[in-house]
Amino acid sequence: MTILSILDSSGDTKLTWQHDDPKSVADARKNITDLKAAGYSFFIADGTPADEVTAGAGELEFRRVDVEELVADTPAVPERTVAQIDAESQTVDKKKAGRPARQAVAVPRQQGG
Amino acid sequence: MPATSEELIRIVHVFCDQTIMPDDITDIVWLDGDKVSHAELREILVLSRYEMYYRSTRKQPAQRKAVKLLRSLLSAEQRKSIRNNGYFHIQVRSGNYYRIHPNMYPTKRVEKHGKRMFALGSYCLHPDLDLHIPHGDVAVSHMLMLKTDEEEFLKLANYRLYDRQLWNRDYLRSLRENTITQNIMLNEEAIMEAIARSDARLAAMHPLERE
Repeated sequence: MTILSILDSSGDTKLTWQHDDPKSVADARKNITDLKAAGYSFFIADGTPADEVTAGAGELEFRRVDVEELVADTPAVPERTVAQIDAESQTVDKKKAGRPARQAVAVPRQQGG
Repeated sequence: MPATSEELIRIVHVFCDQTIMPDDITDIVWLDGDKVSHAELREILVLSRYEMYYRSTRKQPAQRKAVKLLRSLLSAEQRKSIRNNGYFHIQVRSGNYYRIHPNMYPTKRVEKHGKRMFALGSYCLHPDLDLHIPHGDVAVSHMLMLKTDEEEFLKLANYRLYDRQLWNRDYLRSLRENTITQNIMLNEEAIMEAIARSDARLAAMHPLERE
């Protein structure tokens, strides 16, 4: 599952899609294309090493991607099912849960002030 | 000095809203006609910091959410810097350093001299104001742009070079020199005035009294 954080007035809105679900990918492609038309840029933050990043350490590498690259992009770490994520959230203290090893962010068009 | 506490609070709010820049705050005049003194400036800055913290954490859930996203993209050291100082530094591919404030707009270009970082100027770059994007999200976008395409960031942003470069003490030296020069000029004027007064008194005296 890929999670895209779209920056907006509420902080951010999450858009998610499953790589193995064609309908989910098609919906995501449409939404992301609309965002691109509205002037948004897309970035992916990848953690290395993934385990350390998830634990709150490690370094994140940032890269700018286009719509197709973002939609087709598959996580470098094995995907977890929703049931696995739920199970982990019940056992792990939320404050010590760290951060995702991979994140995508949509940034609105910027202008000089 | 401010006549009422409301006057002080108003200045703090104006400062927090970025309507005036730190360099301009010394030009502010209180209602009684006095300029803002150094001690008052320090008080304004301290109160502004509390106000910014209050705004960022208590009043705006969007900003809290934005800062949470930002923190998830930072290293442990950068997160610690936000907690202790209210900002964090990034180093981009060109080797340049930038200081990003999650609770304020201007991202600053900084230079490392010894163990300390000194701000050289600030960049103004933001999304359409009608979108009401919280400051934390602006910090996220600045960091991502600087990390991936610094040239584009520099092309789009408006740069404001600070008049006061503190890293090599030139500014402090110039202040001291100006003060000394002003004192000499004031002294010269005082001497000339004294001479003129003396001449006038002499002229008014009876010729016999002069001797």
